[in-house]
Amino acid sequence: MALKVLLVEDDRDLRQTLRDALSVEGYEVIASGSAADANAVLRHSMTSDSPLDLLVLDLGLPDGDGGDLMRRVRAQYALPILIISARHDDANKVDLLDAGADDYLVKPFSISELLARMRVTLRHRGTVVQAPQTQYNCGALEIDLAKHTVRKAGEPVHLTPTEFKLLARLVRQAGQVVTHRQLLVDVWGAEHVDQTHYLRLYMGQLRAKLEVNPTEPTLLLTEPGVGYRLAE
Amino acid sequence: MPSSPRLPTPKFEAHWPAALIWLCAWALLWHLDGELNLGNLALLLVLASAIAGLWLSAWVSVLCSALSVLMFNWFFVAPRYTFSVHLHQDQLLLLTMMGVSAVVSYVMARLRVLADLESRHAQASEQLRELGEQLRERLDVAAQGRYLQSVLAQHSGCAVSMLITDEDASRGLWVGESEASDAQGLWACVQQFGALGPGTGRYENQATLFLPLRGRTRAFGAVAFHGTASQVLPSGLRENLQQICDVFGLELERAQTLRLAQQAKDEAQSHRLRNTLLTSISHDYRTPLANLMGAASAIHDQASRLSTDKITGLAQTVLDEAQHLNRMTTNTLQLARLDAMPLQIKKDWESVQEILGSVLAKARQRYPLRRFEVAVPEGLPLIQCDAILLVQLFDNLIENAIKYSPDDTPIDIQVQAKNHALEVRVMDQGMGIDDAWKDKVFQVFERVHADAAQADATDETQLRRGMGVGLAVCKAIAKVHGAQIWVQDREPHGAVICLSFPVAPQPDVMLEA
Repeated sequence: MALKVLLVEDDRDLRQTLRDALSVEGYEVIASGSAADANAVLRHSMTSDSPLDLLVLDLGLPDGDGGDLMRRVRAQYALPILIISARHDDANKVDLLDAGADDYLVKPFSISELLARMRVTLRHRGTVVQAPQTQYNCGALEIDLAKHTVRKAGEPVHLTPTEFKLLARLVRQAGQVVTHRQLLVDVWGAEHVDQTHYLRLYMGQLRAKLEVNPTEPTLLLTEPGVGYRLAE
Repeated sequence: MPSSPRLPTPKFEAHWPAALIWLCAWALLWHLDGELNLGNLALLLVLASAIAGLWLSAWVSVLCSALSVLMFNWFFVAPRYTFSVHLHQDQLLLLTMMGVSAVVSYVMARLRVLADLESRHAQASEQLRELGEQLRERLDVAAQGRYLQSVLAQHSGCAVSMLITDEDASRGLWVGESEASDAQGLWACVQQFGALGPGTGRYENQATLFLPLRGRTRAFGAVAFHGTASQVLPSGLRENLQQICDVFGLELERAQTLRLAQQAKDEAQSHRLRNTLLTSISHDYRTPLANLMGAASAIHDQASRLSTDKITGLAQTVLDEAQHLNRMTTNTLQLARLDAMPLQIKKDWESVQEILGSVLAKARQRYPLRRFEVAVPEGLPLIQCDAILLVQLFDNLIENAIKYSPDDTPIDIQVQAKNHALEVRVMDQGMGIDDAWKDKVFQVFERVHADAAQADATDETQLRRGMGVGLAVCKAIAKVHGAQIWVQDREPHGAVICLSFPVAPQPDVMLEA
């Protein structure tokens, strides 16, 4: 059965384009142009036999803040959310990621970028109820969180406890962005939420140990102003 | 300002030179008695009287002369030791003597009065100049007003309140206690641009004296001197007070002129920015839009007759131009934003290595065939910056280097930590930038080789369009981070864009082993 996506975007042309593009890829798309309409669709669909699998949400809706809609959805349903933001320096986007949105895209974006993000988000669907990812293999790197092992090209790599915690946090959401705040709170604790320099330094150490070229990482990617993403 | 309200009296002038002159004259007279005739001796007295007059007031001088004449008569004029005079011989002589000494003394006295007046004026204007300086030292109008209030109160011995009006004389700033009737008087004084109250010839029955703070063109406020009816203001004091008020009035006028000039400058600045945006849209947006239109309409109208390859090529053009427009729009908006509110950026501890890494990843995606040679040492200090702005800065520099150098040459990027600074260099092997252009490239819509690009729109020059805003944004971003940006030449050819970021003391982190 096709995966069901609710696309909330107020621009009619972009909505149509995205809808067509997603349909071609085999998704079943319900498109909505306003927060009110999206709410109605959500209420009806989430209680039906075939609930939604993914919400793609544009933040600049005419009849209300996309953020309110997102928070309501996050509170009621285990529905993955992909945010579309108009600007790179939109602080709202980071707030929503902190508040539980799964990933984001900045306009303008290509269809292939959107599809890639949707695939990752869908793969993590249900992280709320299911056990999160505990194994990661990419390139020469093998990580097993349960066994507490990290290998690079077959060789064990020694990580400090904090480095391992940081890496583990990224592995659980591999492919998805994890915000600075989420990392700081989960690895160092809520009282260290402003100390981004911890992140910079530990991430630098992790890269030095795991990447071939720490300046141009292929695994531990930076999302400037937002957070980090472990490549897949 | 000295505390005395009245100008100090001129210093005591000595009378002893006059006495000395007279003594010498008499000594000479006794000495020459018998050797010269009476007429010659009398001339000696005339001379003494004239010279002594320089130091004496008119009356004293005439008195001295008269006394001398009497003594001369007594001791020298025959018959000696009597006051009888030979009318025909000596009377005229004696009269002449008295007249000369009187005239000399009077003239001298006049001169002294004039000199005295002049020095009073000089002192008064010195006081006013000092007052002006004191006012200028106080930066805000309220403080100036309070200072002037205390000066005026000291000078006049009255309670003083003040109204200072703003540009269009509609609202006012009040200094000191003022009652409703005062307020009315103060406003009237400002509007009439003249003094009101006792002694001014207008509203004589008022209990309060109102003086305007006069500028050249209008009054910038007014001052009320309370209870002046019961006190009689000494003559000249009102003029003095008015002068003090005028100093403040002129100072207010000067400040207003400066403010208006700054406003005009700001407006010109925003006007320039608006023009920049307009030029950007009309100049740099048309070409990519035309290309977009051409490619998209070709796909739309001729799809059935075009080969798949051709359509893919056209779609690629659409994508490229859209990306180009996106970059220009982002740059133009960022420039406008930084220009409007340069202080509203959010700085955090960031790693230049990380930021460069993410910019390079995108650049490699866009230009998969281009070579990038990157040298970033380990253990660089963190810097305080806005990561998103820095991404834009590096992205523009790299894009620029790519556009202005041949495809088969590498782009070199080097980072170095220096004393309290982090230097980033982006180097290409293109034509380089002439010395004349090294500063201009950072100005909006200055573009090296722009003429060549327009005259000869070959593929290569075509690539180079549309970077008018790019380096200007780089400069603006560098500026808000307190960083330097400049251009250097590269041997044998090419340009180096250098950036130097300040490095603050690093935050403490306990790193694990």
